[in-house]
Amino acid sequence: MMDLVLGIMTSLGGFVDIGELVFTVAGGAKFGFALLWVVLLGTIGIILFSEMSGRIAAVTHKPVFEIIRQRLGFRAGLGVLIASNLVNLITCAAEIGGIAIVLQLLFGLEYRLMLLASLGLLLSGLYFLKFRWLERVFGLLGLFLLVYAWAAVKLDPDWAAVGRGLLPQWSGDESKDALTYGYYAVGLFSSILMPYEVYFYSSGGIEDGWTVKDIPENILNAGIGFTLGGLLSMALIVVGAQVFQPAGIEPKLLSTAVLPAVAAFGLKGLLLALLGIFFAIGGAAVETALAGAYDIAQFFHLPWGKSRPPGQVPVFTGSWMGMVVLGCAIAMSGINPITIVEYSVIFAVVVLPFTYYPILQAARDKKLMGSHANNPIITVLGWIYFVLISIAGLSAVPLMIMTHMGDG
Amino acid sequence: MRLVAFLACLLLGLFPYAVAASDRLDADDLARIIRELASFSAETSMLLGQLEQRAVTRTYAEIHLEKLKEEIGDARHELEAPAPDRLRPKQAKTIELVQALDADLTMMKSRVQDAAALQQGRERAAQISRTLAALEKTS
Repeated sequence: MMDLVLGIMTSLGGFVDIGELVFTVAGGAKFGFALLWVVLLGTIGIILFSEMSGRIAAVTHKPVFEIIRQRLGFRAGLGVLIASNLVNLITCAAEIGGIAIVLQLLFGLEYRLMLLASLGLLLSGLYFLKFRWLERVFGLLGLFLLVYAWAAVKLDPDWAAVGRGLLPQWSGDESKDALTYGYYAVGLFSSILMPYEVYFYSSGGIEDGWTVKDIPENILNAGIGFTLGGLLSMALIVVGAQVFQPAGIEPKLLSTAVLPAVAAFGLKGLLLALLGIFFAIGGAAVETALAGAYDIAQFFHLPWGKSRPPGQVPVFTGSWMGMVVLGCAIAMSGINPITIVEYSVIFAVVVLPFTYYPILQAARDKKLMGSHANNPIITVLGWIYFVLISIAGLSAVPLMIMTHMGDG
Repeated sequence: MRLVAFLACLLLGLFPYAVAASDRLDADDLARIIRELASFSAETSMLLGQLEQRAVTRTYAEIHLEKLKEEIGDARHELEAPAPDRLRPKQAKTIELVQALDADLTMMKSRVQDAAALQQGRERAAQISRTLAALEKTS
């Protein structure tokens, strides 16, 4: 029971990363509550595909990238591996840049020095902590982000308008605004369904030794943990709408995302928000680095596992170290992490169909999954989401071009 | 899946076009930059107000002001690109406002504990934001 509760809390605390912070707070500032339905849609999608990938891991003990190679073949699978790891790398870079900014806001030291401190913290944390502790430390301390849910209530929004935001809507009058709204909708949808989340979730199931007996735990972790995570993302939209929209502020900096918590709770809000962001994006940096290493090792059938001694899994260990070091080098270039994350989220949506299609195919395969194969409702929902993901994937880059990355 | 893969490659091929910055300023670019600057001014005003109430730490305020200053510097750099004649008066007025905001930010960074300076800075930033927002709406 305790494991289950911790698993759910970890899923909740690990739900928000820098991409979600950016698109939710900025989306709320720009469009009020009109993007809440996208969070609902994205959250159902991530629950659906995480549950499927966790179930496949529990039944077949095969992680996502082994499934991708099996279903798409070596050449196409290799293409997906390269594209996915590019997305993992730039996402990791954005998260590391974000950690450095939070440290800078806390301690006032130079950005590049804080980047080196972030690199040291991540490498030592990843090296010395066992998988379960990594998950729990970052996931549970990421719960400081709940200050935003508390702030959303304290800022007393028009709850009827919040409720209306759960249905697709568009009340703007210019086509240019509609395109920007589309860009934010696609970005937000993609930030919730980032592929590294299922790579990490499925590999984590195998690290934790899941078997068919753990299928109910998988359903509850994905179902309850990600639902609560979705509610936290909605709270971020609400605080963006309540604090920034009336003031005419369109947030472009990670340090701006803290201000709604300050508006609600003053200094206490500032510290809780900074700690929450630190652990949430620290956890995401760990997940992206490990996801990159999992993908490489699983695709080439090499030994892997954070629970195994580094000497037994040299390629896996070298890969996550490489991801962290390269990510830090990218962040060192001085590009705003918010800009990096926008690219990563938009690139990710192009990769999404190639990750989710093999998962859907495997999860519905009765030969592979036996009695644990998808029921028809899950399969139909999976196909609906595959179509939505493909539409998002095809529209992401044109929307990015037409809206100057959402600036209109 | 092959079709989706083909389209994905095609779309990624368009990416360099998305990130390429134009070296001339058109009306849409100018409006976007003015909107960004109005937002930065409003944010400066909000931050200085929170600092007045001691709701943020001095370290946070100094770093955040520095980051706002960098963003404003980037926007100012974009603003200085050549513009068609009809946009020049609007461009010149925007540059004037940005210079005032930039100077205020430089001053505020060293006076984050001076209550009178914070109040004046907050009011000036709010005024600049309002002026920029009105300027964006003019043709």
